[in-house]
Amino acid sequence: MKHFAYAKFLAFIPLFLLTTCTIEPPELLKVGVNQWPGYEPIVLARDLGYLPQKQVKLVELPSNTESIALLRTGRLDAAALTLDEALNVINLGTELTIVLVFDFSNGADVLMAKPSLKSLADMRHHRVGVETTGVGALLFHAALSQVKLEDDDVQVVYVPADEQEAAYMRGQVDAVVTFEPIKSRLKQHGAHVLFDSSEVPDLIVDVLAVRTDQLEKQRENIFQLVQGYAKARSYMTQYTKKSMQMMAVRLQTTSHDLKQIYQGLILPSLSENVAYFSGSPSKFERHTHKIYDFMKHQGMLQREMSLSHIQDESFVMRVNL
Amino acid sequence: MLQRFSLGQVVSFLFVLLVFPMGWFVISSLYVGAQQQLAEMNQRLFQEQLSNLSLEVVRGLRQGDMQSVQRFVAVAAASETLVHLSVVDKSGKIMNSTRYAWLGKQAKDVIPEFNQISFTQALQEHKILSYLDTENAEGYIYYPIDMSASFQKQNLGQGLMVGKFTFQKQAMILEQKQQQQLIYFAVVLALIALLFFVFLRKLVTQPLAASMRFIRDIEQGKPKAMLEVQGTKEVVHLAASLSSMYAALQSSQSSLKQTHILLSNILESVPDLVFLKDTKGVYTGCNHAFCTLVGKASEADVIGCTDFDFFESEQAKQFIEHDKRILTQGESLRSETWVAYPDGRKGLFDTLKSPYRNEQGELLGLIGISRDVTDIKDLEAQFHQAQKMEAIGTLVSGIAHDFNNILAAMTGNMYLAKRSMLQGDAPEAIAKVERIEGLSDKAATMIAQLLSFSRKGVMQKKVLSMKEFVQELLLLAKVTIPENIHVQHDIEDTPMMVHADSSQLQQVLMNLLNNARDAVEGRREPTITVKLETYTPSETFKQKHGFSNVDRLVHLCVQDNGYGIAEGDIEHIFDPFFTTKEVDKGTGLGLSMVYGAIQSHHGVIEVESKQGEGASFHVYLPLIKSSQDKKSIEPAMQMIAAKGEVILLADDEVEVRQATSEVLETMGYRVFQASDGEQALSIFKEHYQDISLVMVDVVMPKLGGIQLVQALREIKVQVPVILMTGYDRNNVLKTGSMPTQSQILTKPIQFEVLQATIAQLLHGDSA
Repeated sequence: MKHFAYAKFLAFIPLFLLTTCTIEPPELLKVGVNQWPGYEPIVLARDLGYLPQKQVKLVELPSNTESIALLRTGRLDAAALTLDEALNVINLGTELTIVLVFDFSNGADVLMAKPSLKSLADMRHHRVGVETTGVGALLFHAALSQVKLEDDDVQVVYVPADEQEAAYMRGQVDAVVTFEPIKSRLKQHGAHVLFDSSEVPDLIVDVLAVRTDQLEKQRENIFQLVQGYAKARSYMTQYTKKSMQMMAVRLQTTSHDLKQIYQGLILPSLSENVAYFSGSPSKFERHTHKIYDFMKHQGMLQREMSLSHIQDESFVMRVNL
Repeated sequence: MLQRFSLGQVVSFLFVLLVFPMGWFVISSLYVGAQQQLAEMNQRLFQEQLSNLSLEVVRGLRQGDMQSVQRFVAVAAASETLVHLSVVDKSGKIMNSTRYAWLGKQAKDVIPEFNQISFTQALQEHKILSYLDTENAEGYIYYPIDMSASFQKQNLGQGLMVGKFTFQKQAMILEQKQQQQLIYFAVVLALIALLFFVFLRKLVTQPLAASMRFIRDIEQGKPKAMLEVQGTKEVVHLAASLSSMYAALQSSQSSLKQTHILLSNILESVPDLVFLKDTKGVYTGCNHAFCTLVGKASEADVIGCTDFDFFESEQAKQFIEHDKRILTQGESLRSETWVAYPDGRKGLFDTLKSPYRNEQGELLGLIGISRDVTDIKDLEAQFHQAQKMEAIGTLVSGIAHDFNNILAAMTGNMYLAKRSMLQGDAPEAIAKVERIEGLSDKAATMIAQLLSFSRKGVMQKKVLSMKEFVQELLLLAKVTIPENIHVQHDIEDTPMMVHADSSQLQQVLMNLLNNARDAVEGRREPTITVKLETYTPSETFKQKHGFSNVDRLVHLCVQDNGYGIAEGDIEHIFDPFFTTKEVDKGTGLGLSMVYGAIQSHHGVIEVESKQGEGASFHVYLPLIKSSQDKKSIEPAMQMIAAKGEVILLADDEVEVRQATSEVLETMGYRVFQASDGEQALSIFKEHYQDISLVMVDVVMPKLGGIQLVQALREIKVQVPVILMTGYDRNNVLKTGSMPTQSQILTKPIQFEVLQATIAQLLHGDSA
């Protein structure tokens, strides 16, 4: 009996050593966000201390273009993107999984033109500044479709979001597909809205896309991020004024303007997120297929791809405030 | 406390206790060094990162392309190590930052770790300043950049990149590695400790436990085979030693058991009584013979008892007194005591009690050995008598020869006396009669000696002169020694008084002389030399023979020039029944008796002999001291003339009665004669008032002398009496109590002695 005890002890030692051999380095979830008001609650969550610093790091970037570039190279693990941007990244070969819906654009994304262009039809043969890989392109094609114009009917100029205002001011473009806060600033320069996202509901959706290869490795960090976001949303509801002030600073706008901006957005609550991801197929999956089909039709996607694992609803379902 | 743990446990515990803190210290020290190196490395890397970034930033700033600069700065935040980074102009305003909320703000207002002094110093000295916080795995850097450009509207001049970096991930990995190393170390340590424990248990503890079980089994009397263990050389050697010890112990125990059984059997089978007592006089053991004496069934009934439980009070006290003396003096004590058996029969017990001690010499008690010597004493007495009778046999043959010679001489002289009287030659007749008288005295002396020699009884010591004793005995011995043997004597002219039993000394000397006589038989010029002298012993002699309190001895030497004694026989000659004589010539008891007699007189006998050169027997006896010297001086008789006193003479021998009567009458006394006791009583009744003295033969028909005297004393109480006997006077005394106012005379009576005795009785004259 004693020999058996020794044997058990001796057998336990290599097992113990094996388990302690592999050191799991602490992972840091790097999340790219730009200055889109729809993403701002997550920045608010960081500033309120809802995000553990050693687990989640927000990388504030000028635009989604940088987010996509860094996400594809793996320097970011997740990013706040529009759904079409996410599909585009997937189409380019980087597997992403959507874990959270930030907002639905309900007028926040606009096609603005100089005062001389009165309608969409006036855009024929004019220069339109568009982020070709972003939501701008999506809204641009939606707008063209509405007046039955083709890409060739207008002169498309690629302008990143952070350069749109300057390009408009320099006269490099006659119209520009943009969003807040550029929208407000362009408005001050005389530009007016010819088309906005409220005319194509559910077309422009902002989501949290996570590199699929990081999904399992950083499951806890992702959860902390989603939970922090949910807490910030709760904080926004409870302390609207204060939260607006905090967010306006980063967005370099005023609380008043920010409130106006949010009127052009639908920010789904946590329960709405859960509902959006629930079902088989879920509403989100159905919506994604619709956008995928549209983008494919517009030639925005290079290849066929599977959307069977596009969502992971477990994080929003796990959050319990 | 340590008794609860095995050697393996203690060694393992001490190993862990000593080595673990040491290992912990070494690993922790290494970690601290590695942590510092990690911090410095990250600092260097961050500086390099900023150096690269500064190129883009400065170019963008010089070109006024703030958006590009912001993009560069923002993208840089994708690095894991960078916490935040801001481009600050010389006024402290943040121009670009990884935090959009900080843009345009004063660095000191928004950057938590901002240090104005460091900022100013870095700006003024254009020097990179960095600070490390190794505890939190963080660092801060103030990196100066030159943003001046002559073509710009607003020359920005000098600025700084202020940033914070972290290496928490690497630090955490390092910490985990340290923990891992500590765990490895602890596990390896535990493993080594376990191996220590297992090996020590296998090689030391288990064999020791087996050894202890082996010893315990032996203690409990469980039979064991050899102890075999596997372990270290020392442990195996120990086990082998234990096995050897056990084997030796078994052998010793077996031998001891056998010895114990043998001893028990001996003790139980010997007829002697053996007993043990402790120092308090309590019996602690005995054999069966002792149990029988005290009327107990077994030894268990005796153990715990005292002498008072077995013997009468007075006797028990005497025994206890003996015990005390033995235990106090530490010496043996021998005694002879009459003790009653349970059936009332009494026995004489010769008891030797000796103290017994343990190995350390501590007195434990005493051991006693006792023997009933009642029968032996009787046998001894019978033996002594037999010896005497043997001697008498030899004596009688010699005496018969001498008596015949005396009778022949007497016959011849009587013939000559008668003829002389017939011839009227009275003087010649008287001369012949006197010669006859001398011959008669000679014969009487011989008879007296013979009677004395044959006297029976226990040893009766009295003071006697060795000179006279030897001289008398040599006269007696002449009859046993052939005339062809020359007997020399050299006797010192002093009394040499000893305290001795004359009868035993006679036997001693007779035996020695007879042996000498036999030894010289057939030798040319056979000679026996008897030497008697006083002897002053040397200290060596005293120590050798135990004469510690004796200053002077009498030395009697009987030497012959016979054939001597063979060397191998010398040591046996005093043994009973050892003889070199022919069959029927010796009993082998003579020298044994001599030895015993000398021993009982506290003397010593030694023998010197060389084969063919004769033998010398030396007897040493203690001389009594001068104060005890008593010379047996015979009272000088004074002849007192008779005044016609009437004497009643009773003797059944007519010749003796008439001769005695005539002698008395010649002395001047008147005599009534009686032929037996009754006649004497009758005469006495008739003439008791006239009769002054009565002379009676002790042995007479009808009424013996003693009874006659008793009867006469009833008539006349104070009548003096002379008892006459032909036997030894001591035998006379045994037949009845010696009457008062009486004397005893042995036949033949010396008439001078008779006259003196009568005078003493009638007139109270004495020396």
